[in-house]
Amino acid sequence: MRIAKVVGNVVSTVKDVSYEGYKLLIIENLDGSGKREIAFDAADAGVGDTVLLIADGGGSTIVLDDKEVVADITICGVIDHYTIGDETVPC
Amino acid sequence: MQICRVVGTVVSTTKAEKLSGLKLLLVRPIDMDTMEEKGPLTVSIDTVGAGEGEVVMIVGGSSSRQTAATDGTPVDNAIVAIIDHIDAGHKRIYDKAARSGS
Amino acid sequence: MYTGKVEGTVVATVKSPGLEGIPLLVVRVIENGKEKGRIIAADSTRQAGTGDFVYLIGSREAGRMFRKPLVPADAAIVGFIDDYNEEL
Repeated sequence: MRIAKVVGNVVSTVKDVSYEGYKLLIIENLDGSGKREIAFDAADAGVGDTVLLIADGGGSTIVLDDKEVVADITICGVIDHYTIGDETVPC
Repeated sequence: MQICRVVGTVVSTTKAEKLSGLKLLLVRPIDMDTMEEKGPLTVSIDTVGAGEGEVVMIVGGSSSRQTAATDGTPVDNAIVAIIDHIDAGHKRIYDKAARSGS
Repeated sequence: MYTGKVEGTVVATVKSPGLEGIPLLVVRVIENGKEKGRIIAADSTRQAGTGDFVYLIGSREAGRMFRKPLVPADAAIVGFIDDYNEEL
């Protein structure tokens, strides 16, 4: 699992049928890479939120509770705070 | 997927049982911007009958096990197509026929 | 998923049976707004063409987009991007 920040959203009309009704958010990985990717949302997250990601197809199917959708990265939680060593990072 | 040139073959007699019968080829990635060979030599499982010198398409990771030949085998890279031609940026950047004729 | 721009097409007569009938396109990967290298992606929308701004799925999920067994693809176009809004 990974920690990331929600930085935006994507609007897509023409897409795979299994994606209908899902919100797609742009996340920035907080792993030092700063890489931005598109994620599914199963935690009602919004721009500015620090979130927990499941970055795996099988896990995404479980958290979205949908056997049809083919997802790779899914937001499965909004993080309140996390700690690294002695430092607490508020979110 | 990436494109590669087949640069050699690999022969291994003693290997995992589930690899038996699979043809191992040595490939080198081709950068599709410059069409030059670039990147590390890779061992790839041939599922389409590719030969030395040919430009092929390879698939990596667990997706490489999605062929009849590699299903359930311990592979992480497979050759799944032999490229005829590629058009990109409004020009033909690779043409197998042109190369074999020259 | 990640973003990219379609730049061309690939033709391969000899290929894995699972790839029959699936368009193969040359896609320029775009990461954090920057153009990266070109890859080949299988087009699950079957309607993408040069110039289209799309998003793609990678790894094992790429082959799953085609809803049939044994599709050896590690990148697949899954949709077109109408608006890409980065607020932060």
